[in-house]
Amino acid sequence: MRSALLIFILLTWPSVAFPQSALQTAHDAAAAVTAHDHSMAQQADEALHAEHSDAQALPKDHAAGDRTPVVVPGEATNSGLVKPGAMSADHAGHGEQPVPAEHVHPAPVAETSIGVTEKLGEFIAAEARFFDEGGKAVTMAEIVDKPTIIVPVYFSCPNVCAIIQSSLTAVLPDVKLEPGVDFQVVSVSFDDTDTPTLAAHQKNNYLAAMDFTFPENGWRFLTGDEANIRKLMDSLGFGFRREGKDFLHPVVIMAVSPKGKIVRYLYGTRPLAFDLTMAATEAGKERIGLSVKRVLAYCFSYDPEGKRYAFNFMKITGTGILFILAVLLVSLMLAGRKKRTPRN
Amino acid sequence: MHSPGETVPFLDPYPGRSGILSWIFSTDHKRIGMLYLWSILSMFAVGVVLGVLMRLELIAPGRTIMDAQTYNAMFTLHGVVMIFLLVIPGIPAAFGNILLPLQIGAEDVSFPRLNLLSWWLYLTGATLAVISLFTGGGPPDTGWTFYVPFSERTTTNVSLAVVAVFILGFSSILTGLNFITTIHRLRAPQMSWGKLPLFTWSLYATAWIQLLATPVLGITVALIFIERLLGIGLFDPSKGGDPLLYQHLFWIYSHPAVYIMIVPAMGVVSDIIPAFARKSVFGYKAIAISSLAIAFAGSLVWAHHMFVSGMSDTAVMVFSFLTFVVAIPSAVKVFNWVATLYKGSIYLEPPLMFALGFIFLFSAGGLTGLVLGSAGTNIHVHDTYFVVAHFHYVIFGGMGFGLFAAMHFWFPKIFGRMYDRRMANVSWYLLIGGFNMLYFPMFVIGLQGMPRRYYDYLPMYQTGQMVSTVGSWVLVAGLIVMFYGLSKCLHGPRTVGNNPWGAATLEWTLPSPPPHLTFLDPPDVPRGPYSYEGVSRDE
Repeated sequence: MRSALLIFILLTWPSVAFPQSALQTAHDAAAAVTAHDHSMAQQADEALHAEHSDAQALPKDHAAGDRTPVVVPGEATNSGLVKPGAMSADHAGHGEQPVPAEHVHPAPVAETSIGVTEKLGEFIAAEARFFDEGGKAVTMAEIVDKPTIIVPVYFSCPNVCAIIQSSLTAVLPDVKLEPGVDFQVVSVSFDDTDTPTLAAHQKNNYLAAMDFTFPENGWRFLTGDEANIRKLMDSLGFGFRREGKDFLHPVVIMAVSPKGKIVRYLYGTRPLAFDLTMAATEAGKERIGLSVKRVLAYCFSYDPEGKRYAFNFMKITGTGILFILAVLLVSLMLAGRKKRTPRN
Repeated sequence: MHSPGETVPFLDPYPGRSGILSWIFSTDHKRIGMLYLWSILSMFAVGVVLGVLMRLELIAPGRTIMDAQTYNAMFTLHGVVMIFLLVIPGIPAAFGNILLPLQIGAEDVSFPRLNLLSWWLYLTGATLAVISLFTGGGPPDTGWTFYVPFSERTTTNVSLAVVAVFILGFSSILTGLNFITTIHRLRAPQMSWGKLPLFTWSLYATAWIQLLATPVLGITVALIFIERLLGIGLFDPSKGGDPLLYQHLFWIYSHPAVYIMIVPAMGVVSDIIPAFARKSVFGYKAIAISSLAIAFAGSLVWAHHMFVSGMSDTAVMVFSFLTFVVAIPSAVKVFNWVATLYKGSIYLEPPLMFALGFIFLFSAGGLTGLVLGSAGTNIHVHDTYFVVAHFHYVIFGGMGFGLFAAMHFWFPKIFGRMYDRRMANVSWYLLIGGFNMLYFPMFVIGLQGMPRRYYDYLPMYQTGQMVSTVGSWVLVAGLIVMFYGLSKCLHGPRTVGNNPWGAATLEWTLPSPPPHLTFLDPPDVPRGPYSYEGVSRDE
């Protein structure tokens, strides 16, 4: 009985530890991802790498006490990549600071450049021409005449662009500066099919969200043609690419000085009012600030398929283990105590 | 007529068989237990050295003795070595193997060869873990949790380390399987469930967790390996994967694993306290059932490690509630131990000292666990030194002191010699003092905001960090005194009688050390494991 039990367990065990079905699902999931998503994966890979490489800069703004929990999916990515031991390069108090140790990661495949190449201190393409929400042709030099927060979005974006602009409607009233005078917000569409009419519509929507308390000249909405969009976005270091109807793009806004100098990058879908105030103030003084790196969220197409596969994977594994254990318990109870034959 | 196997102590060569092979290929549960004990204590030494070096680095802000990358590797390896090589197998594989069959009147465990295999798997895993330090792209730097996506991308030697963990998992599973089968099938005829010693009960509960949860760990680390090798993208968000899935899978094992660590230690304490209070244990059934309750409820609380990872609020509340539920069986045990001492005829010997140390430190760790288990406060202390302090109070203060208590309780039985009790007491004071000096300041600087796993810190934390480092030296002094005192008992004549402490469980009816073959005839079990009437100390 004992050996029979052992054989039974050994025979069934591998099916728990390596469930065929689980490996199969993993394989299917991988196939599904690679099939319709291969290029995106590559770019995202690259983008994430870019993120990691400047994760070293993170702790600069990341005071030890600041552990605001962020419930954006990207956060997991972010915290996973921040090297735990490499800490602040410049927190006050003591001079000689460890240079984060050299730690080489595989070089990304440089095919496209989705992501952010920070160009702090450089100037935006002032000659790039756009249309404002009234349909009037303007150059960036004319638009940027005061500290400006540039928000690269596209107006038909199904998720993050709308999220970031909505969160701006909540945050902007808290910025301790006079909008339209001390600073302005400029949403620039990188979709060349967006029109001034659509821009005006968007503007009306977002100003309505602030009960029209925000001045009209405080938030501009620009559209343009492909060449001019490229020119501006390249000068901002904003890498994006069209993918069917939608775009792959990073989520970041920039602060630009009245002379068109890029002074700060603010990442994530919900900038803090304090950071915006700081950025605009610094822009006013032409001073370059530090990149605020809270969350670098990427615009991914949600993959419900993958989610389902993952869920199945857990269910199958869990059920398998519980089933085997139940069989073990029942057979042990039925078997009872082993009969011992007395010696002699 | 007795065969030599029934008279020769198991530590001495069986007639005709000697040498190292008679140890490393022995299927005798006592010898396998000893193999485990020596392996585990060696790994403990490695873990302690890593921990002390880390503390030394943190004595002052900035670089002290190592660079950041080395520090990352150190805390990863300290975690991997301590968790997977010491704490998880510690009490069950070493003392469980030696004592379980003796406590239930069995000849051996159910599957002696499987038992030997599990030690070999342990040895293989431990060797691979050590090799991963010196090969590949440098020692792993992910932390012992191997969180994705960093663990998929780092060029350090994570692949080999996860293979080691995978193999260690199988060692753990086989031990659990063996113990469950043994307890069900090989109890002496009169050894009913109600007469099982509480240490055996705790091993039984632990074995179920090992069997239930460890396969998940195996799968999880295997997936990391596959991810690194093939880049499938299950966990990698840039490929549509879900990092949160990894955290779920990891903690489904790793939270129950802390109960694999602590429950056997509770069993040790439950056996020691009545023996030194000369009084039947208070609430035998409650303690036995609470072990099972911890095993069950502990399997349902894993996501309290993930309150700030981005779960839904509902999930956070449910897991927070379940976490509070686990506190109940743990508290049942603590109250029952204290009630056992009440009006007992206590004689204070080193095993009881360590058991009392366990109760104090475990209570401190357990209560601060509630601070962490409550979703609201968790957000503020998440990933700070508060967590580090809590964890070490529970695991080192709990499992560590449980292990020390077990060593001081059962060494006379295993070696047939009494250790230097005065040195054991001195070491106890050093250990308790050093321990609190080392870990208590972490609660304070954790509340002040010192994040865990950081190589460097703001000057405001320096006092706490320095006190903590000095505490680590006191603790190490305590360890040295303790092991020196114990090692002295490895020499000299065997003078200890069957039952030096006057305990009532079955292993104390055997000679010290027990012979190679025990309980060839099933023993009579006339009384419960904690009825001391007519049981006297036999030094």
